[in-house]
Amino acid sequence: MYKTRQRSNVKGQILAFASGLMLMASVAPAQTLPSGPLSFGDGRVTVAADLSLTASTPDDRGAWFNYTDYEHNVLRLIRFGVSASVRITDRVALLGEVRSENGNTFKPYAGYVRVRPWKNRAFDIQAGRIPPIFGAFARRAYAADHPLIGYPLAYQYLTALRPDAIPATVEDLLRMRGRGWLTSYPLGQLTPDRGMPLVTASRWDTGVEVRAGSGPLKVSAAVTNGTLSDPRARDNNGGKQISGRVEWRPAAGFIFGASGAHGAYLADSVKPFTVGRGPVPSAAGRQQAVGIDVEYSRDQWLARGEVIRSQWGVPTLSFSPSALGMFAEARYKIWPGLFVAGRVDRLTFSSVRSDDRTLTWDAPVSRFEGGLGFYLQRNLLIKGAYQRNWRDGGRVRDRGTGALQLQFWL
Amino acid sequence: MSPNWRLIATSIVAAAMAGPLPGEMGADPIFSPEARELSKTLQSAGVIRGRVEVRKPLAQSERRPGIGDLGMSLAREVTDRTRAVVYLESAPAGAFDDPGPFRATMDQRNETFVPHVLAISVGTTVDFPNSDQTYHNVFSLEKTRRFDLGRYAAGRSKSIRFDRSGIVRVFCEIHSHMSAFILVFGHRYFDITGADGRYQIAGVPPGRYTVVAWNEGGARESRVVVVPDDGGSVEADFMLQ
Repeated sequence: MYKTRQRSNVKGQILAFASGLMLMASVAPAQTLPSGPLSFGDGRVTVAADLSLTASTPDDRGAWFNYTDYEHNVLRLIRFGVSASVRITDRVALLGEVRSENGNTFKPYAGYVRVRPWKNRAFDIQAGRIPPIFGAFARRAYAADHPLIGYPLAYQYLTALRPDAIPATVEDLLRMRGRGWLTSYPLGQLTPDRGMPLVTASRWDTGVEVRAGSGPLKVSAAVTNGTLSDPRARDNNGGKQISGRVEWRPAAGFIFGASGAHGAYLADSVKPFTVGRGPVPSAAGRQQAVGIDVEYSRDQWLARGEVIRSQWGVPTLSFSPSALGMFAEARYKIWPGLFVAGRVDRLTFSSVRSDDRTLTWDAPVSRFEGGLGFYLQRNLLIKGAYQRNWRDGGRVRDRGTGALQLQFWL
Repeated sequence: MSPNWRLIATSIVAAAMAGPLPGEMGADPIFSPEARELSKTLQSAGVIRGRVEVRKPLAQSERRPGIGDLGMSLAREVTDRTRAVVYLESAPAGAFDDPGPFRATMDQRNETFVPHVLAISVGTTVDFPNSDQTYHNVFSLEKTRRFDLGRYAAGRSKSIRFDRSGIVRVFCEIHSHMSAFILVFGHRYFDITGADGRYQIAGVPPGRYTVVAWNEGGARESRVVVVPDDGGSVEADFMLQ
């Protein structure tokens, strides 16, 4: 039954992809597709759309390297997003985006008010479901901003930790090594569910952020309900996350950013289960993360890199599990409209001693992705990529996947 | 409307080369028959002028909503979308004798291409200086001229030569709201309307021509005009819906 549904689902996706491809290919040469966002009311209302169709083979099921939860694989995804901005005055604007994935109901991805109190000062306040200020990748919301198809591990790969369930012992945690796509623990929510990535790129947090800039330097700070790993529309963890970012642009094409975040990630529903169980370190229930990101571009080159270290306090454990994610990617345009890109990626975890062995608390993963992209027209892009993952644990330890993606936006 | 300086300069040079006409100072053996013919043509050349009214100009290109931005972006730069290009559909004989090469400039200022519409002859090299403090990346994917100048900073300029006639839509890879048009002609008989909608195509030899007015909104209108044998001025107004 499950396999039949799975095959049907895949077949449906492939058919949808093929029909979308044919439709777009048929109209592309005539240059009839709209080339920019729609605007109304003398530019006060702007509406944009973003469609991406991604197919891959073989399926990642069983290995789960590219899943953002049990159902969604970023290499097999049909995503349609509509974003809009409404300029109420020169100082106030409303912005929002809704997305549908794999034909499901549209869900809000972003929705906030942007206020600039002083017209001539680079000081902005944003409140609502806001773009994350941590790092750089998660703000590149549109598919066309990515030279490749897959996400960096730090922003997508599901670790074995969950916000709504915790291990009672180290052994409980180690049993889940390499199983972040569907983990289960004896304390808290008992139903198996996905783990958390270091930073979630597929959902945005809710809160307030400010940004101030002066010349090449920009400083941002935010207070939000969730954390980097578990952004939340409503606070369920009894604490706020505070995050900050400093961005320095010493010259055109060069961006250096440093970010930090600290906040409660553990759901209140788990906390009663921790009473009287094991050590409770000071960082229990909190996620702390630091990161640096660099971008340099010139002529036909674009290079980016990020390093992120995250640590989660688990009340029942005497240590705080931590993870280090790092990636570097580059894109080179070899001909007008044609580019080649590559990314190397690594995610490692801190070690823990259990019985007479020392292990990382989750299975380290390495990833390489290389690909080509070609613009059929300015806002119609087709990309092909090959991705290979290696993991030091789990049922499947090595898998290569080919992926094709078609993107259209206006 | 700005005068067609290139055409005026060409005419002055040609007239100087040709010297006085026969009968004015007597035959002068140092001038070639071709130069004399050119001089005659210039003297009898007509001017096609008029006004183009664009009824429904395209709306300004807006930025995408910028959901991932942490603050407001620069104020929108307003470009004049009512400008039209007026040109002769078929060029008269001798239209391809321009000495060239020519040079033109399309600046990048306040995240806007300036001018928004540029009309040039085949063989013209266009400079794309970057006058902003941020990177720009000019490119076009048109068959007429496919190019990508890559990212370059303020104070730098890159150039592209246009060797085929056609319409080239130009974009910036970094700023999606930046776009412009370059119309490349196989002759020199064209002009861009001024802020008042007026145009003037000078130096048109006597004959019957189809004159076309084009606007980026897709509107296009043509009409036939006749430049009399003794030259003079011909009026042709257009209304683009």
